[in-house]
Amino acid sequence: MLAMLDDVTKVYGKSYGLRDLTLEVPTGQVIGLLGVNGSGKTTLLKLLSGLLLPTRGQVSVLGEPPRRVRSKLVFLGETDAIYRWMGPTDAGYLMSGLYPDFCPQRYRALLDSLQVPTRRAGAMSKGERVRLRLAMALAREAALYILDEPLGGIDLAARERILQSIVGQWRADASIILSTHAIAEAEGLFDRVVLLKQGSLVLDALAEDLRERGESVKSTFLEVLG
Amino acid sequence: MKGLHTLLWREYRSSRGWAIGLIGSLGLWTWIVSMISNEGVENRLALRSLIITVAFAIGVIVLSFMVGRLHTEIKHDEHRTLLLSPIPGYLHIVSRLVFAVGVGLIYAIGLGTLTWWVFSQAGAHLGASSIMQLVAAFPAFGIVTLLMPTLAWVLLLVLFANAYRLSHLTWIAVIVMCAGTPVSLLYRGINGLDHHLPVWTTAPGITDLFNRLAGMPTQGEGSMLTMAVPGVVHYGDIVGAVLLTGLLVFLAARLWEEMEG
Amino acid sequence: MTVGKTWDLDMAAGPIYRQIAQHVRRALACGVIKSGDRLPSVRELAQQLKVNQNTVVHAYSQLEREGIVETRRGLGTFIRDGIPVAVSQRELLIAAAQRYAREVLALSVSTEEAIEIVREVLDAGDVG
Repeated sequence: MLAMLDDVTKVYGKSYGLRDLTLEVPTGQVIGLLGVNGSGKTTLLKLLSGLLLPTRGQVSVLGEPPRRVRSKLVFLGETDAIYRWMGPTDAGYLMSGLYPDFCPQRYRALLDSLQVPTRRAGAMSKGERVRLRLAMALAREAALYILDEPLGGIDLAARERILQSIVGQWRADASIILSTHAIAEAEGLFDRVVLLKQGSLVLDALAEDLRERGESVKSTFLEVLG
Repeated sequence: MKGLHTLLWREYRSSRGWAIGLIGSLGLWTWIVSMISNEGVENRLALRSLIITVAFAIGVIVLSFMVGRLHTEIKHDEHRTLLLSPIPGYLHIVSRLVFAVGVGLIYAIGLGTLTWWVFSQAGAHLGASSIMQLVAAFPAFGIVTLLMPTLAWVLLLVLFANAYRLSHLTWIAVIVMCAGTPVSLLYRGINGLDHHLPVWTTAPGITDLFNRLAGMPTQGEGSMLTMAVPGVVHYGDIVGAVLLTGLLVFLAARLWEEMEG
Repeated sequence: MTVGKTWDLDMAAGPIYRQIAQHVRRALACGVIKSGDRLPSVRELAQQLKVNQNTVVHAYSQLEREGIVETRRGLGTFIRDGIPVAVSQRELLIAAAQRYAREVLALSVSTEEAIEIVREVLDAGDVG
C-alpha cells in the first residue's frame, strides 16, 4: 500500500472538511477524485501531501506521515502557487536545486509538449501557469503524484495535452491521484474513481467495473451526486 | 550544499530590487553628507554622523521589510514549493537571513567608508589600521549585534503570524507568544557577559578627536557622535547577538516545519 | 497501425479495454492492419486515446489470450502471423447480422423479406 487515509476527520472551526474517511492508495494506480465544490477533495489531497494535518485519524505515505517523506511525493495545488518573477528556466533551476528527483530532460520535454511559453510567470495567463507548474510537477520521479484540479481553467486543446502528459508520465511504481471537474474528458485516465459528498466517501469503484455494468464514470457521478 | 545555494539564488532573484536599491542609496547618503557645510567643525561632524546613523537605521528597517515579505509569500502559497521540498526547515530561514545580512554588510561597509571620510575631514588622524577598522569593524558590529537578531526576529514573527495555520498549539508557539519584550531583556542579560570578555578599543584617532572636541562648547553634539561610531566594541555584544540569532532561527525553523499549507 | 483521427471510445459502451480490443479486431478484419504489423506501444496508444496505460495493457493481454497478437520482449506487440482475416471478418459480420436480426424479429418481418432488403441495399450501394 503506497498511501493511506485511516478514518480521517478534518475539522475547520465548526464545519467538517472530511468525515471519517478511509482510503487506500495502492501502487501503480490512477485515482480520480470527484465531487462538487466543497465536497472535501482539496482537503483530502492536502492531507495526503502533508500540507494539512488531520484532526482525527492517521495519514500515511510509504508508512510514514507525509511531511516526513515529502521528498517522495508531488503536490500540485489549485492556487497559483508560483513566484511571479520565474520563467520556465528559472523554475527548472529552482526545482533541480530543491528536489533531487527532478529530471531536467523530462522537464524540457514537458515544457515542449505542454507548450509553455518562455515568459516569466507573472506575464503568463492562468492556464499557462498551470501548465508550467504541471511540467515542474511531472518532471519529478516521485512515488505519489497529488494533482488538485490540473485541468482547471484550461482551454480544450491544452486539456488534451495535459491528459496526454499525465498518461505518458505514469509508472507502475508510482501512483497518481487527481481531482477534476472535467469528468467526461478525464475518465479514461482513471483506474479507480472515488466520489466525495460533503466530506464523506460515497463511492469507491474501479472505472472499468462501472463500465462493465453499462455505466460510465460520468453517468455514475450524475446518478450518485445529481 | 546545493539546497542552500539554490535558496540563496532564489533570495537574490526575489529581492534583487531591494538590495540594489539599498546599496544604491549609499550614493544618496554620500551626496547628502557632502552637502552639509555648516560652520564649525564639530557642528558639521555632528550633523554628518547623525545622517550616517539615520542611514544605518533606515537600512535595518528596509532589510526588515525585505525579509518580512515572507508573509506575502505565505499568503499567496508561493512558499509551497519550498515547504514541500526535502530541504530542512532551518535552511529556508538561514538562506533569507544570510542574503539580507550579506546585503546589510555591503551597505554597512559603504557607510563605514563614509564615516571614515567624515572623520578624516573633521581632522581625526586615522592610521591604516583605523581605516580598516572603521570601514569593516564598526559597521560589521552593527550588522551582527543589531541587524542579524532583528531580521531573525522578523522572520519568527512572520511565521508566528501565520501560526493560525498550525493545527494545534505547539510549545514553540507558546514560547513565541511569551517571548515578546523579554527578548530584549534576554539580550541585555547576555550582554552581562561582556564583563568577562575582552573589549576591543578601536580607532585611537577617533578617541583623540573626541578628546579634542570634548572641551568645546558643543559638548551636546559630541554625544551624537558616539551613536554612529562606537569607540569600543564589546565582544560580549557579538556573542550575545549570535546566540540570540541562533535561538530565534531555531524557533523559526520549528514553526516552518510545522506550518500547514 | 495508426490510431486514426478519432477512435470513438464510448465511455458508456462497456469497458474500454474491450473497445480497444474490438477496434484492433476490426482493423484486422478491414485489412487496415495485417499479420506481422506492430501495434502502437502501450504508452503511445494510451496517450493517443487518453486512457490509462493499464487499460491498454489489459486490451493487449486480451488479444494475446485470443491468439491475435503476441508480445515480443523489447520489440512491442505484433499481430501474429497467419491470422485468418476471414475469421475476423466473419465474426464482425455475424455481430452485425445479429443486430439486424434483433430489429427483424422486433418488427416481426419474415426472413425472406429481411434478406431481400439486404440485397437491395447492397445492390444500391446505399449505406445510409
